[in-house]
Amino acid sequence: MSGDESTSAHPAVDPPDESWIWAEAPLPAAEGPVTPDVTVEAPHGHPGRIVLGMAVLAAERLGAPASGAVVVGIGFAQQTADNLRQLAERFVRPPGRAALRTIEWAAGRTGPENDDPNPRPPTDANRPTNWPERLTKGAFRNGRSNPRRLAKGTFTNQSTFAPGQDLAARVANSAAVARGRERLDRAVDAARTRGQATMDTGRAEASAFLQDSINDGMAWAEQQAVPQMVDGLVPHLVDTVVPQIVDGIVPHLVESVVPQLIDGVMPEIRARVLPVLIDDLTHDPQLRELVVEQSRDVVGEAAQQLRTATASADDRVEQVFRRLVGGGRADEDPAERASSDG
Amino acid sequence: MSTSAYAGLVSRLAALALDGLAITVAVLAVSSLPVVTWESVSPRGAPEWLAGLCTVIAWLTPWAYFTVLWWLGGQTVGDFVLGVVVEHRDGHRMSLLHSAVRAAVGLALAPIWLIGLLAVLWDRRRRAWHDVLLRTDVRYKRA
Repeated sequence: MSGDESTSAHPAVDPPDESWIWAEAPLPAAEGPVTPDVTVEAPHGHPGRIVLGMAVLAAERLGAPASGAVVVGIGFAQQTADNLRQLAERFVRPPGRAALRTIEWAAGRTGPENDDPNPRPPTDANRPTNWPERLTKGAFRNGRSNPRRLAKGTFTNQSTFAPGQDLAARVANSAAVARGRERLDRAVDAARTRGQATMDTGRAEASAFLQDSINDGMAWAEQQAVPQMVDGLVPHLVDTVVPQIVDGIVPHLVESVVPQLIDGVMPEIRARVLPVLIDDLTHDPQLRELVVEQSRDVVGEAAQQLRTATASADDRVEQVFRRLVGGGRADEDPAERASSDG
Repeated sequence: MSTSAYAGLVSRLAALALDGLAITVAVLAVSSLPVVTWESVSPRGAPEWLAGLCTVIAWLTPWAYFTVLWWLGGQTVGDFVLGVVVEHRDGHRMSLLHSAVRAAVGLALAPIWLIGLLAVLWDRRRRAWHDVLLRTDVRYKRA
């Protein structure tokens, strides 16, 4: 327990990925057996950092990157969260010990020699030896530990310096204000560094999270959603949508697109395609044979019509002659007639 | 189509007319083309013997026309167009001598040949006088 306590009670300037506003730092067990530290985080990082990273990415996408004030604010928020967490740890400990540690921490922060921008309550190992004196002398020295007030110079101890007091006291007060401002600057720098690191880490984790989410979504869509959608949509498309599209687009194609297409293509066809086509056709033996055969058929058909017409004329002339003469030739042999029919 | 197997008067006259047209073209070609060709080649003009030879060939062209065509296939150009064929009475194709005699008789006695064609109108087998004389028949050639 003491080991855990020493590490958790003094997290100095923690790395960004180990200390976060909502980080679940291992809490020391008050009593009983030592339980293993359990830090539950998302596979890609802490959810809070991912959310912050997404916000940063969104802001960058919108062309409004995070300003320095935001970065410093994030750093301060982390420090504040750390302090709150430590405070909560004290509440879960025995009251007397928590009070002692609070007083001890306050004494450590208020000392003029303490330049740590992120002061933490001292542990048993590094506890100053004169902590009771510091507790009585400096723990509640009119709020000097408030850097803001020191920076603004509002706390000038006007009440303690009556008019006419010596110049040495004023000079000492000015030195204290300067030290307060210096401490404030260091605290702001530390907060900026920590916030920037946190934002960078969050951006990277958010990018990785988004990329993995997209990959998972794509894989899921390919394996589950798309096949089901296709299976469900294809019959509907084939039965309803495609016929409607075809019915709707065909008149438009016939009336508008095809004429324009033909008008646009015909000159090119006349100039390039037709000469080549005609040349090929005129030199094609099959086409020549086909033309000759068709011509032969036409001539043969005409000749056959002529033969039929003259043969009928033969009969008519003979009939007229027989009427005029009144006689006529004897019937020809049945065999001859049969042969004429065949 | 005719009810008879033998070619009638109209068919035979039409075939004869086509043959007359073909013979005219052939005679003109035979009589003039060699002379014209010679004159186009030689500046002296065609010799008399060539003109005489062409004249003789031109006179023989009709006879040769009918003889050769009847002998080879039984059909002249007119017969082919009108779909009639000249055969021996027994149905065989005419011999060269038979064809030559028939052509000579027809050309030498052309007026009688034409008058004799009228016999087709009353003959049982639509035979003209020269068909009876030369034992030939003119039939429709069925496809």
